[in-house]
Amino acid sequence: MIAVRAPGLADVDAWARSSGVAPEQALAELGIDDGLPVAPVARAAVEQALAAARLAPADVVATLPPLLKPATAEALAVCSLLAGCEPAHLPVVAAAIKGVAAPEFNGIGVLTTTGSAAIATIVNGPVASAFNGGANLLGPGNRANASVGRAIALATQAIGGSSPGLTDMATMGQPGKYTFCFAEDEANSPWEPLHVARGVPAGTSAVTVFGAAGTVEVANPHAASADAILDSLAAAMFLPGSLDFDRHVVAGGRCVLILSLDWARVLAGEGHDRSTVCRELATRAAWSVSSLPPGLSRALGTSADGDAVIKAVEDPSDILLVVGGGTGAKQALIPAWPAPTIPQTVVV
Amino acid sequence: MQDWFADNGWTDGLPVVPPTPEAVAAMVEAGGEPGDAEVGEIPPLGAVATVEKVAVNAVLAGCKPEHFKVVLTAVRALLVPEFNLYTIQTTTHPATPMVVVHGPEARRLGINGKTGALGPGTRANAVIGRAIHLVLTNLGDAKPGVRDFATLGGPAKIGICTTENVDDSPWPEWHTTRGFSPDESAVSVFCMEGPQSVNDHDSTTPERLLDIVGSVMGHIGSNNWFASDTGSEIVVVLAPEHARLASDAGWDRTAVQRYLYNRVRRPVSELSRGGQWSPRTWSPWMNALAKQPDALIPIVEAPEHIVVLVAGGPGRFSAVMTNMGNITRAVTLPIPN
Repeated sequence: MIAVRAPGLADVDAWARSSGVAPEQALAELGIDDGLPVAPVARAAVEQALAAARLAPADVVATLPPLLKPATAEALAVCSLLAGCEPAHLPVVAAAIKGVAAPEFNGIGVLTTTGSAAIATIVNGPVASAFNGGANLLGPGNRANASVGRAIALATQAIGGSSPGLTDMATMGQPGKYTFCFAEDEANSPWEPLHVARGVPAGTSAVTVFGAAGTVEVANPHAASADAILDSLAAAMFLPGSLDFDRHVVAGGRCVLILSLDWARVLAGEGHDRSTVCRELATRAAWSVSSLPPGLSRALGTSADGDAVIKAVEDPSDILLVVGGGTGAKQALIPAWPAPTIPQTVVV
Repeated sequence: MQDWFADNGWTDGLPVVPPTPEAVAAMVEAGGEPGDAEVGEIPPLGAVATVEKVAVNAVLAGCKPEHFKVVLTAVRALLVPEFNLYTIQTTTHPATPMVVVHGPEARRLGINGKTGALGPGTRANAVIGRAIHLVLTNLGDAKPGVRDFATLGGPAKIGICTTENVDDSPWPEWHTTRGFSPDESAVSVFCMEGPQSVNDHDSTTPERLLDIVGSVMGHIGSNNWFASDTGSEIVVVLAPEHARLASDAGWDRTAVQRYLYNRVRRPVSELSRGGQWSPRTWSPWMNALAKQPDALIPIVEAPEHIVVLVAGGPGRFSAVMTNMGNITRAVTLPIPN
């Protein structure tokens, strides 16, 4: 039995009356149990966060899975500050939470599956200046990346009722479930930013949430032409371990592809834009069913004979291109959790 | 205080516990060694890690004193030369160490090897992994863009510590393959990236299951293909239900390793197309094979370099952790009493 009780200002005041720090027992009651230390929360910081997000404490930002509980601004602010956020980060957390709560994202599935799904959050627009889209963008070291990603995870616990081993049944889990948030390096990208490509006006900030199965490095130091790069990327998308049996696509049928600046420049230099890269990859990432491990091709059943084609994505728009990272021609492929989860882009 | 630590670059971006003299002293005390004892030089900067300095980072990470012997043992394991910490710290690849605790000490500390074994939810897993990361960044100065040149990095860099699911595994714990008895406690460090998820709900034979696992191990673009002959490794974490499928058919861990070793191969022609064929960097015997496009190249030098662990809870998702294109060898050290 999970008694979900979202945190609020009353808790903050109670903590202030003792040492100012949330005691472990209080956190356990709130279901906040990622295992890492939390930051002290001051009432003034909660008020600053709410002001930054232009929200009143009782405003309901979203109905948060997996238990479909109302996420008030007050509770989100407390979760964010516990996670280590600055007050100014609350608008980004709130936007991501709206994305996680969108029915098409299938947060109930993402947060309860035995699969290793984690919520990856991509930050774009002016607000991304505080976030890392450069060297080590997927790793630790930047407060905004680390704390905003963690705030989203803690909110799904304290407010949404996600609880490892109770409602979160991940057989393995993955480190991305602690925190998984990064920016795009818009300044050095040859193309328009991801959120603009997804319909958000330029100059506006937005987050894109994605149900991620894991991370795969893709490197090929000998690929010097756009053609060789596209071949390398397409070949790396053959991941039958993330086969979606319903849609007959490998690699979860969707992916975030983080292109290094080096490769993005080569592609752009040969005249490619986002849409042509995605279209080429969607076309090239196709294999005959007979190239699957034998057991898998048989499991696809009568609908797929040996000459049938299996693809990485059904549509070019299922590839979310992000440009970023530091020195080096290293890419990251982030396949989707192989079940229905549709990425959501939400304006901050 | 949180801002001061973050602004000085002494954290991973998340809240830390204040390293008060009392907290650090309690940590040192639990380690059973003098605070000024030298643990070693942490590359790439080469700052000398004393027991006390490791203790400061353990406090920052949120460790309790009871976790400290594991942290100290793990730091010593990282510094064994064949682990190749210098390269792991500075490569553009997302490589990072994973800590696995074996034996009774893992149970005593409550390290989680069941549901969510590779994710959050358990203090011991979270803070031990994080302490290692803070030691590496604060004492080795492997900070992003400074001395850690990871182009993209990965979420596992925040720290990853786990143990095997001994209750549900059909096989002895992994440290027994290194000569330890099941009753001895030890710490292993492995280099890894990822993990990648392996979804298999349908297999009824070990062959089919491992073909699917193998397809994830050997994707084109993996750095392991650069290191087929230079000594890299791959970690396969089988979910207990997957491991039992193999075990019920009479397969032990060695059989799984040998099968994967023999199945996860790609022809020279394919590796060349994927760019993972650079004769300048290969050994003479591999250069000779360059003239034979159909020759099948294995992804590691020998079956034992496919590390097979059993962890996780109910469900049919396993995990694969590929590796950097450079030498690295797992290191296992005993936890002192």
